[in-house]
Amino acid sequence: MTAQSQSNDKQIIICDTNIVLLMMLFKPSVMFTANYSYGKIKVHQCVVDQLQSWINKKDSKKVARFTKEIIQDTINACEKLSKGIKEPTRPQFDRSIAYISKVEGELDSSQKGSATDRVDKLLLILAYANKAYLATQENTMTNIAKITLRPERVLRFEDLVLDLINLKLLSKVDIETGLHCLDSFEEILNSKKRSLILEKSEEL
Amino acid sequence: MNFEFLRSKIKEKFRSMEAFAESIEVSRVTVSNWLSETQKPEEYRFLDIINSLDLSEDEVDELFNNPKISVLFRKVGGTSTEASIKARSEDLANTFFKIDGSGYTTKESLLPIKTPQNPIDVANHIRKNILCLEKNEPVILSEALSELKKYNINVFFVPFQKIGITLSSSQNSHKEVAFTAIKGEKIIIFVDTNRTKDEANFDICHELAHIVLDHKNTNEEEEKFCNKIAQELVYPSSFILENKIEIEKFSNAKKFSWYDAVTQFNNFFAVFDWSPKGLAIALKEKELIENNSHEYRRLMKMHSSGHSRINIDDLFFKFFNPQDFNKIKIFFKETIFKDKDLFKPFIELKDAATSGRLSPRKLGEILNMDSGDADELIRAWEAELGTEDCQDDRSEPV
Repeated sequence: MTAQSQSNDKQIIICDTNIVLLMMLFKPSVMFTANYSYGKIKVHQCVVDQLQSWINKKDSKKVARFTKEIIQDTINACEKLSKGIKEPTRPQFDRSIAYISKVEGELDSSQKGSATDRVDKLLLILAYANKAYLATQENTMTNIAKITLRPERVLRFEDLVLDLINLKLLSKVDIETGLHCLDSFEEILNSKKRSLILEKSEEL
Repeated sequence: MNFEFLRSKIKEKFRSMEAFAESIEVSRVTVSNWLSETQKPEEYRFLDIINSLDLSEDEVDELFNNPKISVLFRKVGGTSTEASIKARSEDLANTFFKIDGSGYTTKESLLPIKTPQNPIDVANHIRKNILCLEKNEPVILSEALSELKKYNINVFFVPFQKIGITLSSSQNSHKEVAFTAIKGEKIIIFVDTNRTKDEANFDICHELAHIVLDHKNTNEEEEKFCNKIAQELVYPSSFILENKIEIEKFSNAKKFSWYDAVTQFNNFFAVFDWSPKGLAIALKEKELIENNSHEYRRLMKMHSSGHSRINIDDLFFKFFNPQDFNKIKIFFKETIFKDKDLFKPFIELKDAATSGRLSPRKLGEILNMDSGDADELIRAWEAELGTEDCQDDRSEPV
């Protein structure tokens, strides 16, 4: 039995906006469609809408940073992945927001990055409602998700790359090119996990 | 965690403890351990628990022992607080407490007075411990707001009538002019914008009196006592006695002309935000003038001739009209950024609505506007803001 066939087809990974952009920069042909050992990638429409709002906005800093083409390509990749996510009901959303806000309010300053916004909170609730993994690159979101969902249900971009390496779905060249691309956009990965990615890539 | 509440909700929603345990995928023994308080639920179970029990937002608060809100009113006219007004005021305050969970917590203890002696003592306690003023020094609105800010006691100026918090502006019917909402360590003082500066100053002093006296549900006697304290804070007895020469221009109308009185009053107004009516009441209570005397009537005439009568609403809230979509849109787009302190509640509502912490329905309820309009308003704000600002610089490693 290969590692690939061990993956759970029913499990899903719900991704935030930063994660899908990193996937687009790293190796989109593999990262969006692979069968991860955690499950399949899903991107909610709110993430697509957020990407679209960057394109629509005049003098958008995000467009200046990533280019309109990359953001548009990310939208195109994500639109195919938005089906099959169970939506929470409004009461479920409201009570979960109340709990998530309580958890966020109790985080100490070392655990906080930017305050969560509507998309962040919706993604957390979607991950809960779908019993899914949540892939996020943001500190506050990561810490809230570790408390509300369980630590093992929170993934960072580096975890997805490491999983693909274990599944032998990325080559050494893919990794070198991907990391170089992230560097050129000044996207900084966790240094320990980056070293681990490089170490594992040597074994490929 | 409120285990008693958890037990009662399980009983209400499920036929047995087993059924509840099954719904959140734990054993009956685990639930039993929670309820006997020998074991706490893991934090990642809480979303399962609150969703399985179908809790409302308020019930989530109750489950986690979040303190209940108490609302203390200052009203003009009427003899009791209408239930609907109380509910609306509580809802307004609770909305702010919820959209910014930790933002309204007071920074230091406010040193409550447990056994108040007389209004002068309480007034001096407030001066010394909260407002950083000398004994018997008159409270000035701008300085009071700045001192309260240091304690993180927010004073929110809100057009009560336009959002449906006061029943009528008529003198003879029930009219709220200010209220204080307290939830645990969190305090917000709400003041009606249909007040002049001196009235707002008096209202805030009245509310501070409630706070230091630790009032929970006030009665008529307590309201009167707080009025006396506020009077003492704004028009201190000692200050009035120490400034006999100036005060005589109002207390001895035969000796001084209308011109002398107006000139002197303008000096007081410029420094202390006093109003002729407020001064008339203060002098009457200190028995320096008699009710309906020539001196009293002169001050009241000065009052009605327009001294200090411009209210906060006319100055800053002309565009605040929840029934007129275009006006309210302009208010939020152009007005609220002119003074971040004065318009703080509206800036907070806008932030909360665009970040999903406040639904269009709730925004509509709070602003007393149609929920469809509220939805359209939020969309306009989102289009105006984009969403990228809050997303910048967020990819830092954990």
